[in-house]
Amino acid sequence: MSETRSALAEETVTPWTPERMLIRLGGDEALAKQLAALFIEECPQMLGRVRESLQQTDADVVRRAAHALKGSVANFVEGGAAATALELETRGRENNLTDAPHLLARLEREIAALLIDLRRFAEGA
Amino acid sequence: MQILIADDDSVLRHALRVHLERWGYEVVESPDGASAWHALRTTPPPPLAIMDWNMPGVDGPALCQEVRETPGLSGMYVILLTSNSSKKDVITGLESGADDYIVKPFDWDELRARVRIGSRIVSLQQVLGARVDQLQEALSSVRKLSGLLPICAYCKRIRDDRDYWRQIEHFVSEHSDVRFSHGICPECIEAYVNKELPSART
Repeated sequence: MSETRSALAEETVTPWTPERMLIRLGGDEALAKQLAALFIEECPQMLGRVRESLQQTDADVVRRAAHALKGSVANFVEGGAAATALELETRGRENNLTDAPHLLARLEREIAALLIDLRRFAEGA
Repeated sequence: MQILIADDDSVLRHALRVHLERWGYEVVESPDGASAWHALRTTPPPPLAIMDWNMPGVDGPALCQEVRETPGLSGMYVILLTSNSSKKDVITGLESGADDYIVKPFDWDELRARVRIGSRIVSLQQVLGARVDQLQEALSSVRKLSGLLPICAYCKRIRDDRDYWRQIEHFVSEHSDVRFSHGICPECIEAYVNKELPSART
């Protein structure tokens, strides 16, 4: 897993840190781990919906799928994957999906990196 | 106090539930607009709701409008929770009927303070509602004694709805919460009691 993480880190640095999350949650580590576990479980489905929406090339479906993913990611990070999902949502709203596949590729990398960090945190002692 | 959380983000819903329960509230969750509407139609409905703007099915502002137009729900305190932070969105949200508007990501202490405001307003409304009910009840008993009463010019009996001439104290007792205790006023003591006493002694 550490090799995968370092390969990803060359391209994407996740802005998530457990410290920042714990500050937001008043130091409640148990709750932070529960939230991370929920996200790890549900994120693949949400990302899958974004992927499918781009295959359908329906801008409004892209907007809604990207918005849902952005909302969930924003529980953990403000930049990174949340910012990319917001860009995709904006492309959907503006009905301009020209660079959407490129944004999706970036989003997938950022989500993968975030998931690695969150898994390590959620499974940590 | 019961609070409805309507949000399609299960991570945020869980965080909201844990925090609200820690602050002493009872929580009902809905993952979309339709199930939120169903939860709002329970009896009694939750007096406070935290709703996401973008939800599958019915969105937050549409739900707010429904709440305001539905008898029995119009007094509900609604907080709209959203990542739409433009001034136009804030105005649209508040005009849809929301009482408050919180932009994600939010600070938990701020949410707690805003929920407390909502809870205080709900409690005040409940107290006022109970007081209005009491006043209406009092008013209806006062109304029992309003209107034109036919009264005998000599004996002062009152004619009731069934055409019986009743003693005034019976009539008043039946139409109000008034009860009479009998006594004799000084003028009547003079007019009746003192006059009759000498003959009674003989």
